[in-house]
Formats: sequence, structure tokens, C-alpha cells
Amino acid sequence: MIALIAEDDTDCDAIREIVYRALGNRSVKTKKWASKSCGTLRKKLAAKLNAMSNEGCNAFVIVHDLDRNPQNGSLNDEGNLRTILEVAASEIKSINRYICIPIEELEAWFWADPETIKLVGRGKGKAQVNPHQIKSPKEELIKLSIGENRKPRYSTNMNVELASRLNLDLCSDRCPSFNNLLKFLRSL
Amino acid sequence: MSLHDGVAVLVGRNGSGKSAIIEGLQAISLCAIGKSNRVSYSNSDSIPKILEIEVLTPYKRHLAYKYELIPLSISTENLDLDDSISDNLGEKQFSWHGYCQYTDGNQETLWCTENGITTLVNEHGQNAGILGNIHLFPQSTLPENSSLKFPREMFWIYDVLNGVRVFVKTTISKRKNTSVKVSRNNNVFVDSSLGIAGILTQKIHRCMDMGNLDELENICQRVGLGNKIIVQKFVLSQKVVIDEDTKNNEYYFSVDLDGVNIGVLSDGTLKVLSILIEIIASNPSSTIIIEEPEAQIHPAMLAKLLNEIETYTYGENLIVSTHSPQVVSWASPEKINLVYRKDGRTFVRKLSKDDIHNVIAYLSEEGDLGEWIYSGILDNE
Repeated sequence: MIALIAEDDTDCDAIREIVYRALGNRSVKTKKWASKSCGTLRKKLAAKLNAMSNEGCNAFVIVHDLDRNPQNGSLNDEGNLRTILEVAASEIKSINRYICIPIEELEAWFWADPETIKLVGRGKGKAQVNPHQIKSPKEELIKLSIGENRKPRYSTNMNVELASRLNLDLCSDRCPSFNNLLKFLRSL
Repeated sequence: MSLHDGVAVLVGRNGSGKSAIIEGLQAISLCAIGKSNRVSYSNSDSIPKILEIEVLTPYKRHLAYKYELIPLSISTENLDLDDSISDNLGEKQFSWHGYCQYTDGNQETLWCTENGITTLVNEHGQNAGILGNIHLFPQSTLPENSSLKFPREMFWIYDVLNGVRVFVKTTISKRKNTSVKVSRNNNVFVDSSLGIAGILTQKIHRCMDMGNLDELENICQRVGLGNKIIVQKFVLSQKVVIDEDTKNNEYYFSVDLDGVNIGVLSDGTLKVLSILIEIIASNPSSTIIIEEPEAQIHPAMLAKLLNEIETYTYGENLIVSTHSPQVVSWASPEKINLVYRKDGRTFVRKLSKDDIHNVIAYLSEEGDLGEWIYSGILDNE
């Protein structure tokens, strides 16, 4: 059973879809924990990993956004964040764990795939070679989805559907955080 | 109350005045645009008398509009459920003062109203007086060569106030299969005894006319409210469903969600449905106001509903009152407005710079905004 840990339910659901696709097996069992905030994820990660391990999880995917500093808008230090999460995760003996740190938001991955962007933008919009450079990728998807009636149509509730259509290999080429996640999942 | 990126989340203890702010904003905004027949004056002491708003114009200028209500008499007239604007100026229930001025640039004054008589300055610098609610007189009603031109700012103010949509907490007292009557000219008649189910049936009929029914069904699926919306048109006397074009026939109209008539859906389902219908149909000048969206709704569905609200109100104004840590956590600290009572009056304040500095550190290391807000910060208010 694979434990899926992220800050948000829609992130967990999207990751689960990617797990199914990477493993080519939709019957694989998963268990999710959406922490609701990055602070809660960090603080309770060790305890939660223990609990999920006791409940039968033997592989762990931990997703934590690399946020921007609200004071100056710059991205936080990825190495520092990874170290903090690694320390918390080290309490689990299982070697099957991966800490995935999407740059700013998981939604950046969707910007890698022209077909996904076409779906959100209803034909308009252009995929990015370097999606990790997009500032506020989720908000940019909302803007892209604004139709002729000036109403947006994309919400994060669509992330599962987008994950089910995402070109995994193209996204892997364009997003280092996704590339390593995919490698980990395919190694299971 | 100030909005951050168009959003304000009102947080405060019971009795602090959150509902009063919401109801007051609705009532006074209706008065200011002439929808006075929708405001109950039987309890006029409970609504505010002054509205001050700041509007960011399409030309990125800041416009201040102040409206002061002067009740003249009390009416017990029932609320009108129809969204159309009242053109009944003969009610004489109140008079008003008004004032509109830019707050930036040259701070030009645009118009002022004293006791219901509005004075405009035309392009030649001459004053013109107009009696009555000026929003009800479109420019097109004036002669083509008229020297009087209504300022475009007047219509911007009108759009902002006309776009106020409020969802207050409701309780559905009785359940029964619900249908509404549709006339030959496509007018929908709603029996007031049908309550919110009747109003929603009417709104879904409008959704169908606007071609939004598929979108409503999609959003219901995403939120987990239901999979299939089925509308039925039928002639009551014959008890048969009409398949053919019904444009020229009077008929009854009903709505089922996953095979259940809308009149017997649960309170929470009706509440979510009403919010979804409204956010789909709102426009960029709308102000959507939702009182306690968490009431009657499962936390998992609430999370999905908040995601849809975030999307569909993008670029619009959104004001939410709440007692829910989940809703507070959904917002950013800049959007929080603390509501509290002091010396018998309601006050609203945003988090201070120090508060925000502290909360950002807390969010990064400890927990979520909901925990922080409800951990005692309100105790000193």
C-alpha cells in the first residue's frame, strides 16, 4: 500500500492518479493524508508516517510545494526544505519513500503538456518548456480557462482529470520534480 | 471592511455583527439602486442608513460613493423575489442623500444628491437637477440633442451595487415535490410556499435558457453533489411529459438531481446547489456574499465547494463570513477581517502587519490559519 501525503486533497487525488498510471495498475492500494497546510505537514509528518506505516503502507510519497516567501516573492530554499522533510521522514525504516517538491504548486506540471493546456484553455494557451518558471501556475490556469463570457472554468477539482490525461513522459522531461517522482514510482 | 484581491473573510464571535454587516450591505445597496421594494422597512432600525463604497473603475481610478438613507415612513410590503429592478418611484418610503467623487487625481466631484434631487454638472459646466433615482433613467431615454449626459461612473456604481448577491443561512422547513409554472411567453411563476426549492427550480430554468445546464451538471459532478440533472416539462392536467417544442405552450417545469426531485433534496444539497448556480451566472462586477458556507455541508464537500468558489469568483468580489477553521485556512491572512463589538458597536479590522508576520511564521512551521485565528487572537477584541 502506498501512502500519499500532500497539503491538499486535490493534490493527493492527482498524485494517486499518477501512481495508477505510472504503475499501470489501478488496483494498487493507496492511503492519503491531506495535511491542509505546510506547517501541519512538517509538524505531524513523522507521527503520520509512523501511523501509516503501522496501517500497512510500505511506500511513501510526500509532496510539499516549494512556496514563495510572502515578504519578497522569492522562492524558498529547496535544499533546506528537503532536509527538514528528510529528517522527519527518517523515522520510517522503509527505504521506499520519495519527497517530491513541485516548484510553487503541483499545477506547474500541467503547463508542460500542450494537450492538457489545450483542454484547460479550450483550444487556447501554450505549454511551457520550463513550467517551473511560471509564477502562480494555478492562478495562471484559472486565467487561461476564462471563456468568452469572462468566467473561468478551471478549478483544482479538475486536477484528477488533468492528471489522467497528462503526458507523463513530456512532463517528466520538462519538470525535474515530476521526473524524479516518476522514476521512483516506476522503480516500485 | 476592505477586500484583498477582491476577497474578505469575516471572522468573529456570535453576536459580533457579521450577519448585520452582510444583511446591511444587501439592504442599503438595494436602496441605493432603487430596489427599495425588496427591503423590508418593518424592521428598518436593523438596517444601516449609510453606505460608503470604493470602486476601482475600468480606468484604474478610485471612486468613492456615499449613500445616506432617510426613511420617511414604514411599509410592511412583502419582499419581491423577482430580480428585476423596481421602477415604482411612487412608493415615497424614503429619501436619500448621495455623493460621488474620485479619491485620486484631481478628486473630481461627479454628482451629489440632496433629499432625492440629484445635481449633475454637464460638459458646459452647467448644473442640472434630476428628481428620482437616477439609476432608473437610462441615457437612451433622453433626447439625442440633450445637453445632459449621465456620467459613465454612475453606471459603474450601479453595476457594482446591482451585482450584490447574498446567501444567508437558510433552513428548509418542509419537503415536497416541486414544480413551477411556465407561461406561454416563458415567464416562470414561483409559488412562495415552495421556498428555496421553487426559487432554485426557477433559476435552473434560467440556466437552461442560457445554455448553462451542462456546465451546472459538470460542476455538480466535480463537487460530488450529483451526477445527473434531469429537467422535465409537462402539462399538469394531462400528467404527460412534453417532448416536443414547448415554446408556445404553458407548462410545468421540474428538476431532478440523480432521480430525486429538487423539493426533497437535503438542506445541505440545496445550499450547495444554490451557491453553484449563482457563481456560474455571476459576472465580473458581482459581489458574492456567503454567510457561513460551512453550515450544513460535509467538510470534504466544503473543500471542493471552496475550490469552485475560488475559480468562479475570480476577478469578482467575494465576502464570506464564517466560524469554520477550514474556511479560514482556505483564505490568506491578508483576507481576514476580524469583526468585534465594543461599546455596543460593531467594528471590523484586518490583521496588523505584526499579526501577519507572526502568522506567516506559524503557517510555515506549526499549523494552519484556522488554528491560529481560533487559538485566542479574538479574545482581546
